[in-house]
Amino acid sequence: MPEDRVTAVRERTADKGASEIAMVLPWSYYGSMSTVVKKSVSVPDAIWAAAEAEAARSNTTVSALIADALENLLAIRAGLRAVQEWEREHGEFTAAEIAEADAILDAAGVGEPSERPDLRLRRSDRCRAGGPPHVALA
Amino acid sequence: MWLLHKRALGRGVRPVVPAGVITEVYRSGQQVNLTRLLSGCRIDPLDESTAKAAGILLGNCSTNPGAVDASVAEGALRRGDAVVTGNASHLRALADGVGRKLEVIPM
Repeated sequence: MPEDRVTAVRERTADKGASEIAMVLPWSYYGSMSTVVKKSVSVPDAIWAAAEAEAARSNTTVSALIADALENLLAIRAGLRAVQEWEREHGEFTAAEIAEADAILDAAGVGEPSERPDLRLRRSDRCRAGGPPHVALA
Repeated sequence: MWLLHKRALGRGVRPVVPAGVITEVYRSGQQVNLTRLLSGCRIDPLDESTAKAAGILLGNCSTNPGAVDASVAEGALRRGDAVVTGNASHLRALADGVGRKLEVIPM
């Protein structure tokens, strides 16, 4: 950046409040600012033992494993709620359409069609969650 | 697209959207349906390593499908994903160029 441009930026930022300066920071800056909280939660001992074993296999920590699983679960539920909003505006899919889509996903080997009761959403959400990514949209 | 998105999420699968694809379609925060769709997706960033890998796919491709398609193919090949796309021929050509096969779901 030319020196006169740097000076101009300095002058502008000196005149403005910190909130306006913060608005020009790249989004990735905020992405690196997440903090960690320590909370007490209850987990069935069998699940905890399985989580410890999985963390050891994956060369990670149980905390990282839980954070990753929770982030995935929350995103899936948010995505399903967004689909519900879209369907309210555009109409729900028919049973035939759903069957056709399931057949396409089955043929491509995307996910598992079986129920995941351990990850099932509330009845009002009508869908399920969890698992690794296995499809790309382009 | 929406139905496949819904059913994939229902199977516990978060669709992956390569960052370059967002560049192609995003124009403002007013695109409500795009925001909705992306809320359930995982965004695959383009970094130096993946950008170079996508470039290698382009270099080996008999046609010139473009950088974004190359990044889509690179990510899908790396992760073993099926690709839902309107550019099936481009993505297949990119994979064919390096002797790989992509599972493509044409739109």
